[in-house]
Amino acid sequence: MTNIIDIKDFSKKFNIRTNKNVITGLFDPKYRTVKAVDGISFSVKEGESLAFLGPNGSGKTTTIKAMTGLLYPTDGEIRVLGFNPFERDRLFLKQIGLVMGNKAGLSWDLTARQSFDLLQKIYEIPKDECEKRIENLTTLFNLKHVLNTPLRSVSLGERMKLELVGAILHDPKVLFLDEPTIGLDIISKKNIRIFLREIQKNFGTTLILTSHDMDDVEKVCDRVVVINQGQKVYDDMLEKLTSDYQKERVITFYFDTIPKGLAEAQHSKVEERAGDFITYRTTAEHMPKLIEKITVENKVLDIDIKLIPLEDIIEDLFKKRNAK
Amino acid sequence: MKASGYNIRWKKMKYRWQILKTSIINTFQHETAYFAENWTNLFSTVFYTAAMLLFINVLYSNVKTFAGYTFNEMMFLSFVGQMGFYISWGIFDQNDDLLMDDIQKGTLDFVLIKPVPSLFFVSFRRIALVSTLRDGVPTLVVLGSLVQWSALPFGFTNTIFGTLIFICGLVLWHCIRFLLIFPAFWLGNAKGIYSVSYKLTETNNLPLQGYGNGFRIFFSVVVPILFLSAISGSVMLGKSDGGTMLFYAFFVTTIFLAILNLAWKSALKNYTSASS
Repeated sequence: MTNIIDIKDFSKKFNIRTNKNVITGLFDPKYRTVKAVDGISFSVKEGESLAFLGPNGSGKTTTIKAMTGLLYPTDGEIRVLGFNPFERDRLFLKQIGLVMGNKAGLSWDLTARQSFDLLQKIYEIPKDECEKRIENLTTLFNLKHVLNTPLRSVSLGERMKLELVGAILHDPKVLFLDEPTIGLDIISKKNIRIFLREIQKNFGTTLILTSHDMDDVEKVCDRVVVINQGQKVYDDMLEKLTSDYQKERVITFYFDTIPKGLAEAQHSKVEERAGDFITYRTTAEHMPKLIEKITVENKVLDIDIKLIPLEDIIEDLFKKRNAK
Repeated sequence: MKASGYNIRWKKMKYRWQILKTSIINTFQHETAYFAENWTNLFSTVFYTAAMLLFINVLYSNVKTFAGYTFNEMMFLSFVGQMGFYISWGIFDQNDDLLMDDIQKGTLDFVLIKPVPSLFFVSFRRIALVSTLRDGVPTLVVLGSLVQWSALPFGFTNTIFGTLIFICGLVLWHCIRFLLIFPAFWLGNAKGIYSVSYKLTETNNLPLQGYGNGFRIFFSVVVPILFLSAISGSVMLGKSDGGTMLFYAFFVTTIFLAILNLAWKSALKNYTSASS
């Protein structure tokens, strides 16, 4: 597979005004430069689904916006589908789609159908083909009943799904998603994740996603790029990232009340302790011994065994990088 | 080779016309989305026209001519000014408001990722034909009925020249207002700066001959808003040389369109896209 996105040493700086005084700020405007992204490089292959992760302000949205041509890079080179995104070539723009979880791309006062009509003209989609796509996508998403309702009157979950339909109506090769499930209920989130996987599978769409919800990442993406303070700290397959941590287990023991003198067991670490439970982190190898020790010595009501959640893995990555 | 060049140009024009047509339909759908809003604007336009007529009547109850304009010519000038205002209001005002909001909230992202010429699209996303007809036509009918058309010294050439200058004036008016919005790309918000444009419209209610040379040059070269009605009206009434004024109008319009294009490119380079 060929590279669809190539980013080399991309940096973006913003000037933030520091002198906000109403009078002196007019004559003596002072600025400080903030490096939102600092020399990031990576490539994305056609058909890949990549998650872009990082804490707030780490530079993920800035990178996505630079890839779509919305932001002009301060340094470095970005090529998406062979184009320099900021040149906004029509052929390039016709091949990308953008969904932002907390911004509405479709018109608030119009029905989705009316907004789709404008998109059909803008992207020059043949009318029959466009109708067929609307029919297919709204059926798949169960949206037919809200197609002719003003957007302001539909639920957040339905609005988000309509935004997605609008973003892929022209069958983009690359779909950029900035927190697409933010604020949605569990069922809507699930539907959107399934839908994203479907379009990746059926249409070969390359997905670039940012999200704070690790379920989005686990269910939708194959590869993870983690950035922190504008720098790349991890770039590999999601499977590899989780497999590194698969040797570890999180075990919670439930009691009536935690027995006194319940000390740290060998090769394990107490993660959390409250009135009626204690959580250990240990390796798969030492888990049986830990369970045996605790259950023999104490009256245990219940045991819960989990793999390390992705949230914790990512948090671990940030901690390790910050410690460096 | 030549034919394919024409074909491409024709295709581009057809494409833009398709977008304009859909924008008109979409704007109609927007305008009719809130029932009460359909009628409230009419009150403010009626009140404004009444106040303007009262002022002209008071003025001409004391003098026979004002800057060389008779009462009838002044009514005609007001008619041209109001027509310019309503056309610009119908085509540009909503787009200006929309652009300011989009820059501030970062929703301009959705415009910029569309494969459509961005400056063209932000200029013509909304074309409010219904509200222009609803609010503009009654006012223009009232003003038009107060003008004694047969008494005006219209000539064929001057009317054509005046109309072309009026169109240049509309384009220039759009350029000036858009340029006043652009600081928002650097400052985040430019509503205060943009509001200056509302005050500038008042300059069109005065006859061109009423301006001293300094003001005339300033308002036709630096901030060229006099072309919209003061100059076009003056040409139609035969008070200014049509050919010379049309040449100036084309020249200044070309310069301002070039400035607008350059400013737009520079603004986009500085667009920080409000964070999500």
